[in-house]
Amino acid sequence: MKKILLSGFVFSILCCSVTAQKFFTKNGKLSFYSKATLENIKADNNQVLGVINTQTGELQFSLLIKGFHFEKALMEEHFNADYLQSDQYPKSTFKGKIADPSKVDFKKDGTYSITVTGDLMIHGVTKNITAPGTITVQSGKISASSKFPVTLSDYNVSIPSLVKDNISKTVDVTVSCNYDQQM
Amino acid sequence: MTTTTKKRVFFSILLLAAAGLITGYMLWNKSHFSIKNADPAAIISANELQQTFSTDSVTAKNKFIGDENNKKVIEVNGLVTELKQDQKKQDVILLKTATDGAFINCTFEEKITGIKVGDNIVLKGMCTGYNFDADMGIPGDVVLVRCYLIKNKN
Repeated sequence: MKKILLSGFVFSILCCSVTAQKFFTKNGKLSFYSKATLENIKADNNQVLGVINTQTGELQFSLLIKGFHFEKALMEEHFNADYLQSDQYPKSTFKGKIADPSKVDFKKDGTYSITVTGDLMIHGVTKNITAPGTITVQSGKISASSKFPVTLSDYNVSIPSLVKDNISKTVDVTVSCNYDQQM
Repeated sequence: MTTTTKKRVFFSILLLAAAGLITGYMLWNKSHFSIKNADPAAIISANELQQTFSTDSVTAKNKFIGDENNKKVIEVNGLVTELKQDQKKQDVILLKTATDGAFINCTFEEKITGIKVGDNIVLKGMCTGYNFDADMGIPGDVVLVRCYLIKNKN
């Protein structure tokens, strides 16, 4: 009986220590920026679901395209209707892994440079990308950020020929997640 | 062509060009759709909203999410589980649903005051969808942006 109790106890500890490796947020930030002749294009989304598994080094995020907010209403409309076609492709996701998770000590305060490789899905098209990033651990709180370029044509995002020369073919994407919850 | 006709043609073209420029400028600078003044397309509880998205995404999309030609605002009532600020310093409220860990994630357009955890509130906002991905193993939130508080029933 003791053995059963003990194994049950050990099992529950193992169970918890495994499940507690997942840290997440549902209000992470992703913004993008692109230089343009008439006016620079920038927008942000502050409802990014971001997950990091400190054991496996898995790093993922998911966001809703309609959540991008632009200063100009007209830009926001074109972005949803013509460029990203958000009714048809409502989401964008990234599912990847930290190249060498053993380099990051999630239990020790510090700033760690990482490289992440994984699948980025935009506009229904998935591409494998590699991007540099930073993990920060401060008083047990984990956050991650990364900046990488996205070439629009890679994801079949076409720019109308009328404005082709005014819009950059690549946009700079910045993601930042403060993982405030865990499970 | 006589000089008068020439002048007329010239001024007509000038007028047209000016009208075009003004229209273009106004379009370029047109303001965002006002959530504050919009009537809700649907009135629903936080729980029902989450249930609809997780069980019948097509119905949910048609009922609660608008498009560029048909902007939709929905009114939602529920219990405040958490109050926080995002990285842009916008106020965020999480409304409770029957599913553990799944909320209605509401980002406000303007600062809010006088709301605390446990309050029963009514708000309106624009629904951007259901942010859920089975691979991630995290309960999904239904996301509302540009929200406004309608009533706090406490």
